[in-house]
Amino acid sequence: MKDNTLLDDWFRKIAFNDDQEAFKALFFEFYPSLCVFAERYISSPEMCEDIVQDTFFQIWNNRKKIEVASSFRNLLITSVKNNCTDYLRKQSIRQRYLDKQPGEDYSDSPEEIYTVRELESLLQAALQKLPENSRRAFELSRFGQLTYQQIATEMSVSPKTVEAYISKALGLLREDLKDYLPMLILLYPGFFQ
Amino acid sequence: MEFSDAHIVAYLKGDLPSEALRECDALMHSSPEFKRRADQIRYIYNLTGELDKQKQIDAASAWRVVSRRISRVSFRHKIWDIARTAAAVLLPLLLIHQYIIKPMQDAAPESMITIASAPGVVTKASLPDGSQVWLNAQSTLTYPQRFSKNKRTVRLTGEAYFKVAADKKHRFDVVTPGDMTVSAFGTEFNVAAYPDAPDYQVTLAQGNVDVMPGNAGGNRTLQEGQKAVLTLSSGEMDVRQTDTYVDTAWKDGKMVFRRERLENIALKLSRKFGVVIRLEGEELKGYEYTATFTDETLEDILDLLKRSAPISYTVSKQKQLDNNTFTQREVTIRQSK
Repeated sequence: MKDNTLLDDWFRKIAFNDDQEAFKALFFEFYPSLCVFAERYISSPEMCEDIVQDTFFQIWNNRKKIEVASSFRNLLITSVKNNCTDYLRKQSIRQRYLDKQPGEDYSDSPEEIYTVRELESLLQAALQKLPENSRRAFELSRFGQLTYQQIATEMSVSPKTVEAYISKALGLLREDLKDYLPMLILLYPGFFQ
Repeated sequence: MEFSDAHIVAYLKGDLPSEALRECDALMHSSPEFKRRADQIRYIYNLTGELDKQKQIDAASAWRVVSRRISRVSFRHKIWDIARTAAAVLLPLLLIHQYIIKPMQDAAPESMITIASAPGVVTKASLPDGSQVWLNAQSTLTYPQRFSKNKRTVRLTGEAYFKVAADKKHRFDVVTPGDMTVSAFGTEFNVAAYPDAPDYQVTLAQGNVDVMPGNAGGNRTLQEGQKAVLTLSSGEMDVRQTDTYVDTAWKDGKMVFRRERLENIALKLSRKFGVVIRLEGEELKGYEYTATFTDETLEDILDLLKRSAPISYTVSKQKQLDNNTFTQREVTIRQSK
């Protein structure tokens, strides 16, 4: 699921060859997931994007002296996390009255991210196996953000049928992804949309 | 009650009616099977939710921002690198020049430049420090190609008008035959030091100068409009008021005489026209004239002199010598009977 050799290769090109193309590839691969990751700590999506942009900028500037403790993936995550906590510390100096820190929910969760590519490869295979109707209803519900009522109109069926489609989709997905689930459930304990 | 997966979604979202909600809460505690299903569904929702969220992030425009910042920084680095390289190359050169080449040049004997004006010609020259010099007829000026560290010294025989570039740190000295020295930092003055004249004259047009009359000592400082006259026979120098225009008009091509003795006029004419003028009779030498000449010929001037005093003159032809050169013309002025 994780392509760490590709990531190692990018970092090698960035650090030794000053390869901007590799840096660009790294950016496009990890920018979205790191932004969503930063939202665990900071509620404003715009601020999260700023912080992740800063992080990439720092990585480029320090590319010659980067020391990797465990993996490049962890380096990205740790850098973003540190920048987020730096930002929060500066904020809390300004706003002492805030006693509840945002992102507290995540204090125990492992720090991990999944890129778009990884999430898609995980889901896509499972979604492809669903019956057409169930897949359509599920995608409209999850990616189209439609209510059951709206999906029912869209698909010209009753809301009850939509419910049945979605139940079926979830059942099949649970079956299909069950090998990953016990591990992955831990990642987003309080995250539900 | 049996819950479908769609019901569990509604439960997790908090959308169930309160009765069903309580039932689910209870099941979460009592039934590991129910909890497992709920967790799995929650995970699938989280996964799809995360994917949806990530897809909405505009990485392309963020990349434009970051890559602009990077290229700004790398441009600054490039400039800095160029500056550092330039310094690395130029600094040794500068040091070599400052500590090896320049002392060598300073130690080397100065190469001197001499300029000379022919009879009837005023030569204008610029000195290495930017000072300007008008050199009168039959005069020579010698100066170094580069002035030394502490002083600007030139040697003059004849007459010259100096417009000295101001430089408070470097004295400008004009040394004449007999070692009279005219010293200034930046002014305008005229020095007339023809060895065949009875005296040397220094006329100050602007600023101030010190005049040191060679071996005799007794420095004098001139004020504007004053002139120092060093009588060669006695070695005495006195300072008097003067009309600076009369003494400096030559540089603009004019000859100005104010109650000037014919003796002196003859000297100036001989330099201007490159002739030898002989005055016959002592009384003649004392005749005084006031006149201004601009572009008259020698004959015009002699005629004018003749008209205002009882004199006559003859001009000899040039004679060719054996070595193909010509003698100067000779003018003889005598009292008419």
